Amino acid sequence: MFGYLRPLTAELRVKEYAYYRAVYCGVCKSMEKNVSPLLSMTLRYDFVLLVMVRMLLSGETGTLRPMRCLANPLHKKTMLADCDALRYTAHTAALLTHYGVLDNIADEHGIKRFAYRILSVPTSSMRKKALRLDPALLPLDETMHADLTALSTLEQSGEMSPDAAAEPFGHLLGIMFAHGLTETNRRIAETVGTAVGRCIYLLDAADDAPKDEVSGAYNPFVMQAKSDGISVIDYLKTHRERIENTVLLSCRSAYHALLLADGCEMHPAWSCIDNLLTLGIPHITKQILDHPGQALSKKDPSLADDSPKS
Amino acid sequence: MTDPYKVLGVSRDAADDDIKKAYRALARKYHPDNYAGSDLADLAGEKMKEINEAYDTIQRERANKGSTGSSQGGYQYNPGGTAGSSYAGSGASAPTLNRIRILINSGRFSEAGILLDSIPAGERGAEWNYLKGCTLLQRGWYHDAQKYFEIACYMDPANAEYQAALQNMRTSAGQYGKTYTNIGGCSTCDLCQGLICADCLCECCGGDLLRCC
Repeated sequence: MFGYLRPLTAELRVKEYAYYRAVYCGVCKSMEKNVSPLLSMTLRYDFVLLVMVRMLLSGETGTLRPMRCLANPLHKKTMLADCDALRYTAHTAALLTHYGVLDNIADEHGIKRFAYRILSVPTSSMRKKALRLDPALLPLDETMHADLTALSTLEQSGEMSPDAAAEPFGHLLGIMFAHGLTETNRRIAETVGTAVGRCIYLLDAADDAPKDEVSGAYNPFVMQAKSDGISVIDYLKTHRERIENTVLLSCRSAYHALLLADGCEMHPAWSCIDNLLTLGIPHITKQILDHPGQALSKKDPSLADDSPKS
Repeated sequence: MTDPYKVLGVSRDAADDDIKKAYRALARKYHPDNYAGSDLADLAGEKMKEINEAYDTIQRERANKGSTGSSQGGYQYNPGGTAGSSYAGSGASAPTLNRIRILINSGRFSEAGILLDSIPAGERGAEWNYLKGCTLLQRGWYHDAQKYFEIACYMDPANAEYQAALQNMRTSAGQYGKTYTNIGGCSTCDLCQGLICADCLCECCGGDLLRCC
């Protein structure tokens, strides 16, 4: 995951902001406790949405407790105490991190590839640990592998359509959000996961487009720009509305899907999810499209002060 | 049956206007247009049915008790309104395209997509692009859907159906994005402009707000 799914903190109320931070710290703690402290280094804001959606759909409310963390052991911070949604997120993060490293080994060359090879040793053991602790994740692990292979094949074939390129990642996140849930909630979670997965992929592609144009790495927007005979920055400017609408309509489908969940608006996580889908993602999209080529800081300054990783 | 007041989220002694307001808010929330092309349209339909039944039950109950509340405030909506469900059918279309329209109307989008792809590139006109956009819209492939609608509109600018599909996408995105664009602070320029306007108004009435101008 990439850290694009975050709320617009300026529009959160104080207690909502405190709740969001508590969940963020809870995910970090859960990764550290349930899998490995190394995994907590890979924490991204996106995982917070996964936890909140899983809690909302499973009816878990969670408990906030003051706890110590490795980054600042002298100061206790309010965190979401370990719960099913947190454990699930920590385990799936371990699987996703390992496949991310494998993908980098395939994409990189020279010293970077060697570094990723070394990194794959601990990530592989984290993945194995997650599967040992929760064997029910095996089908999800297989889906992840299949979707990331499909993504890699699409990239190698030079897929022109941004939607087609975003599809495997959307599918992966759909399954990841929905795994283990039943009936209606599973369908809602799958819709939400698929929509935000597509958003993440497209936002990352738009954010990295100028860099990829120079390096020659695959990027659907660079492919489109090449076929139009223009630079990718010009392409992003010309087709800004199309890209913005794609993200907005995806967020809209996720938002309306969640409204179908029983009692969603009563859940403590709802206001953060609402902010994230209606304000946070549109804000990030605007930032990326306003400044194509100036890699967006993946750290939100208002969250970064005592959140060591984004 | 579920308590109709609970369904609408109002108390039993709520005024008729409050009930109507709650009903309208819920009906807007679960309106079929919000779930057009979504896999969850059936769930939204069930929710809408539940809300309609609850509202009707309350209206009937109150009418029987001689309440003065109006029973004509039911929320009307157009069950169509989406690009994929508003086809009028065209006699001028090639038989294959008509067949594709029928498949799309009956929700068989993947079959429609396969048929569309089987049409050779040289024979792909405005209608082909429009239908392609409809199948992609249903899959949630909004980028490509908008692209094909734009091509359809470019090829046949006078066609209201194609224009409506493109406009519908833009309006849906625009309305959703409105929440974000509506927020925003008050900059120093806004503040100065406001003060100058207030000063002009005061001066028109014979007073003065800012002595320096």
